[in-house]
Amino acid sequence: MPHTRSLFRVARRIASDRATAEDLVQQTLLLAWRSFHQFRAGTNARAWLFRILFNEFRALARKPAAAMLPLMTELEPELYAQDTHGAIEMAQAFARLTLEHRTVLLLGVVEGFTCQEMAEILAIPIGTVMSRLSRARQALRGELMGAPKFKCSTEGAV
Amino acid sequence: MNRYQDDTELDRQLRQEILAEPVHVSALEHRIRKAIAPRFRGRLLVAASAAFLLLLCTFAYIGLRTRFPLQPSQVCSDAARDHLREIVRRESRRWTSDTAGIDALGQQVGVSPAAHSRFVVPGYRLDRGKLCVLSGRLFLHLVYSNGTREFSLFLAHDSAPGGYFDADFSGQYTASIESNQTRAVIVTSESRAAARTLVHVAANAL
Repeated sequence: MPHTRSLFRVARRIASDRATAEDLVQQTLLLAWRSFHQFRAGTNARAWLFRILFNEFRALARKPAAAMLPLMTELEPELYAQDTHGAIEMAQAFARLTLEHRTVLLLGVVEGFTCQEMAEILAIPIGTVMSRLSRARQALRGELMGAPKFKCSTEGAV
Repeated sequence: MNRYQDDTELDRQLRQEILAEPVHVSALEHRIRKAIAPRFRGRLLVAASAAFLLLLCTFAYIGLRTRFPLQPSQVCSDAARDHLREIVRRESRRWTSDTAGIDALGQQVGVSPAAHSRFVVPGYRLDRGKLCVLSGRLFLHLVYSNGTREFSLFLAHDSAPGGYFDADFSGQYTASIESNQTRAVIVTSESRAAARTLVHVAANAL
């Protein structure tokens, strides 16, 4: 099933736990399957899937029960990719970022979407994407360097 | 300078860390396939049921129509339209040219093979035939040709005596007659008199 890994990789880092991330990806792919007639041939299918994922994530976050769920704040052992000091340091610093910073870094840096595509996926202006990406890099750098001025809360809108 | 100072290096480190993460999605994919399968089967079932229902309605309609006597004017109008489309405008249709095949088609509409073999018009020969539906009833459509001109003869079993009828539709001359429990309809581009003559020749042959 194409793109499941990418979707899950992102969902896993924005949702509160593995089960919620799996539900998100499942719901995304089911919705995509059901509304495939809405997909315009020749456009980016991957970006379309991510747009559905984030729509679903926003819908989930709006539910009263979901509001009580904590977003990912601590790095779970399964997310340690490499057992090296640098890798753990990076993973922990990334996990401490706000949701919106994690989101732009995941989409722009890890998944390789352009700012225009990110703007469409997240339904925000392209200028906001660019400034958010810049601030996200600064925040990550701050976390890595241990600068407290970039310490952010885990709450925030995507 | 710190190794994270440079954006490119920072991005590379982050990408490397996250992409190296083990992602196990086989169970999730299995779950998604299981969720999709019943919906797909459901849609298939709905489509098959709709097709079956449509087929059933078509047969019911044709069956119902055969219980009522044919309206010669309606049959002639349908026949003229059919002739115009298939003979004059030569829209592609699947025709049968061999006599045995035409006889087999005739049996399907309750028309004896002898009927059209006795129908002889000087200068014309039976060129081709097929089945068609006129006024909700199955007819044998025969085309006779003299090399340059063609006319249509439509035949169907019809037990209700309907007498003689002729009319012009869209520049086509039609004439209809019932004889020996068979309805014969002639459609020609020539003239009303020609249609009248031909349908009486057909009536004698039946």
